[in-house]
Amino acid sequence: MIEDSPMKYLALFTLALLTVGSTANAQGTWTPANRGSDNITVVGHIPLGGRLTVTDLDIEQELSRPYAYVGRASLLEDGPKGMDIIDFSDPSNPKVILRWRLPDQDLHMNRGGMDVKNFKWNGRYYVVQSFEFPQGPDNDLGAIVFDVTGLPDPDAVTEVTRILNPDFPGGFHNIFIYMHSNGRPLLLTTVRTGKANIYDLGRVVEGDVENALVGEIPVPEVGGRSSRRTSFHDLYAAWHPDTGQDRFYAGGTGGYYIFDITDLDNPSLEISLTGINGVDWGHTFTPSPDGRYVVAEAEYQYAPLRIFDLKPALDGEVTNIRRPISAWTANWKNLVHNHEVRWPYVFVSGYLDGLQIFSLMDPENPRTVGYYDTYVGPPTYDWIQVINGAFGVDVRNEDGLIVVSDMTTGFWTFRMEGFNGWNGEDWGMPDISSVQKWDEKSKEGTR
Amino acid sequence: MKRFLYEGMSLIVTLSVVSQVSAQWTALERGSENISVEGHLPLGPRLSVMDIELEQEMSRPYAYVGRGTLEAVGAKGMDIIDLSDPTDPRVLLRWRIEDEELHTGLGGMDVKYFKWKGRYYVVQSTQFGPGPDSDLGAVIFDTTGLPDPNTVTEVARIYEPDLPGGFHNIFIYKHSSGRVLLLTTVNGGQANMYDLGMIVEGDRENALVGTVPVVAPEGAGGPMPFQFYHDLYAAWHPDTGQDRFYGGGTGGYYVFDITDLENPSLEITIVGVSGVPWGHTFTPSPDGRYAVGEVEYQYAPLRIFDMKPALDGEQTNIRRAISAWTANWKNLVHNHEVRWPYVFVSAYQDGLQIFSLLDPENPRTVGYYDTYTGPEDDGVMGGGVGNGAFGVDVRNEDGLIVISDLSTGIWTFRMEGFNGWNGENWGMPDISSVQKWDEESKEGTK
Repeated sequence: MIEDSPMKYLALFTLALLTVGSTANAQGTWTPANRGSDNITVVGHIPLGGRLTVTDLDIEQELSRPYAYVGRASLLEDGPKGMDIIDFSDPSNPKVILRWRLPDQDLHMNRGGMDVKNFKWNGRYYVVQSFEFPQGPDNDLGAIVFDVTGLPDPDAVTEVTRILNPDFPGGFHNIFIYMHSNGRPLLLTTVRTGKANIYDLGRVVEGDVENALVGEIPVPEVGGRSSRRTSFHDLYAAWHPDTGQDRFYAGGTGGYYIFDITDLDNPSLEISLTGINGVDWGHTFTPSPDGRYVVAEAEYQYAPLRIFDLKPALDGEVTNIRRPISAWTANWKNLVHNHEVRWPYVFVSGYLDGLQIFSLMDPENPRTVGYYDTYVGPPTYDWIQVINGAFGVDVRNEDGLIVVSDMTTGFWTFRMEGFNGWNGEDWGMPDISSVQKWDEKSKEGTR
Repeated sequence: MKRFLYEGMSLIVTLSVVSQVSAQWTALERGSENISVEGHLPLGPRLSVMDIELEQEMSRPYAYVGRGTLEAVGAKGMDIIDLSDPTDPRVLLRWRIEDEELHTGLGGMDVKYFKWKGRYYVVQSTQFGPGPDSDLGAVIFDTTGLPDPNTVTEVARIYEPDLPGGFHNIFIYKHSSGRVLLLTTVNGGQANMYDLGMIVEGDRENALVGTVPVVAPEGAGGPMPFQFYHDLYAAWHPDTGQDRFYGGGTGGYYVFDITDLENPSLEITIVGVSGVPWGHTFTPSPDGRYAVGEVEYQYAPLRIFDMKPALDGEQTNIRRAISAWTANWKNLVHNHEVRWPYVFVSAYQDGLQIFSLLDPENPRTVGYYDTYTGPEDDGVMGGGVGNGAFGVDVRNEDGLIVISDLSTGIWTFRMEGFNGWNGENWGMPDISSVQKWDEESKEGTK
């Protein structure tokens, strides 16, 4: 139960002012000798392996389960293909407690474990590690589901099942797990064709993998692109309080899309963001807790994160949005990658620029409020120059711990001054983020 | 040698003086210390001043400014400015299309001058919408008699009835054959090439001597599902002995050999570049190795491409920029004039900007002056970034820099240490947008 009082809001407002004020000069340039803004503290760090072998990460949200899951892949050569499990019960001293690897590593082509997400079902804890192999063994493997209830004992981690997708080989590049309003935990996955898949993870872990594919969301047709292969690149889902809908947010061919997925059999396109100058292909796409603003990435050098206001579409005035209201980047010469929205903050894994945090308190004027450069190495001259460094980011809502997976330097834990946790209602927003409330009953009874 | 040393020292001075020029300009501190404003002359209402062209001979200090309208109010024609005293520019002539109110669309856009058989001409491109002159592409004037405005006479009009909508951009190139060519964008998938000698001598019917196709890959074009060039340039390419056409348009940027005007041959493409569905202005370095590529949308920097792998025959398409430059990443920069190693930029809301390509992988801002201090959301295009400095030109003889600003008019500048430009002083061919009208054809020397 959240207690509302004017004093509480005043305190939060003051805290926000302090955070923003203390970092008024946070937009300075970071150097190897001065890597972070004054308001960011490095709590812990552990390297995990060779360069360009660390991909996305996910942390559990319960303080009693201080575990992080990190995808491991071989993006260029000699990398592992699997997942690391990290115990950060002491965040200043993170420890790898399990390095799970696919068998016959050498037979598998480049890439491997990419995105990773955890969920809870019927009192047990699970993690889903996505995989991508273009050819060869396991090229139809999309994800492996593990039961991790027994952590921190690594021997208690067991593989529950594998999700295969033989009709569209190539694996799942990104995944998201969403607690649908019908009470089912859903795994949303990209696939290598013009749709996203929806799996019922309850069925998956209970052995009914065959009937677990409960829905598909098509990539809308884009004018002039019919001959090109279409796909989603990243996906997200959230409850939209104003409409009482489960909403799917995805970036992909042509831009960004929002579907109503309340009825899983009939996803309905609600809003599109296409025809945007400089956005041929949407990447990560994350809404504010109330679904009004969205942060949108396009994955190429020099592209900033664009901020869109969906109000004209939410009000029914338009169905497509073409123009951002603002943009933010750490260094316009580079590229920033994934992000986690904890309104008004956006936590960014900024590739070569490391951890970056900006505020959307004024959505038309985003401001950098903190940073720490996790990568001080050279650009990736033998691949895509701007892709190295901070790949994934996550935030523990309970206490505000920030974690980053860096493609080369490994796993990092941080604290930001004045940020000791997040609950949307403390900011006048619904308490909605990527963090799911596994123990909450379905919303069906309350609609 | 002396001059080379002098130029080198000038550059060092320029670079050191402006080592902090990346600082943000403000309404009170509009320029870097190495830029001096010579003169300024407002020309009319906001969003009514388009591109600019400067004659290159010191004895003919005239600037031509396209006048159009991006709003309801504005002129449609061309202004001729006398810069004999650069500190006090004066309008000599305000030419307007007849029945101005009946004309829809943009009006006068790009403008270029040329010299033919001892006489001086200017070509004003036009773009009109439905109604009168929607098929009019350009008007040619004889300006030999300047500064007397009464001697300026209209010589011809170029129409393109098959592809109405006018010419958005034009370029005039002295071809190695000795012909003077007008290259124009059209409202369709090609660029037109007109022989201006034939036109001014009355043979308009046969003056269209070639076309250059847009060759965008399938599916290219982003939100614009049709193909066209947006901007064009041409230059002699010494290493191959070719006349080369450089066009930005649907899908990216293209380099053609146009030595044989009847058979343009695609030499290099720059397509599939992330963030470049549609190329805008595209200008090579004097030796044709590097190119500056613009894309016309908010947040897009100028990209610098190294075409060496294509020039060496290792590949025919370039996909990655080696670097990029922008004045303010939240805005957009527009046209540019390359005077190696400098690139002079009309940077919309950020005014005049100058950067150096001395290290092509690390372009550096070396000077600026903000010609526009108006509202930041009061312009065309998303984000309102299309206001302020539209066109830029440089007089090679003495280094005079001019800007046409959509809302604030014409500006003249000097940059400390930049007193003129000749490519050979920089170890480059003496090639820029400036044509050598009195040079004989290269045919005899090839």
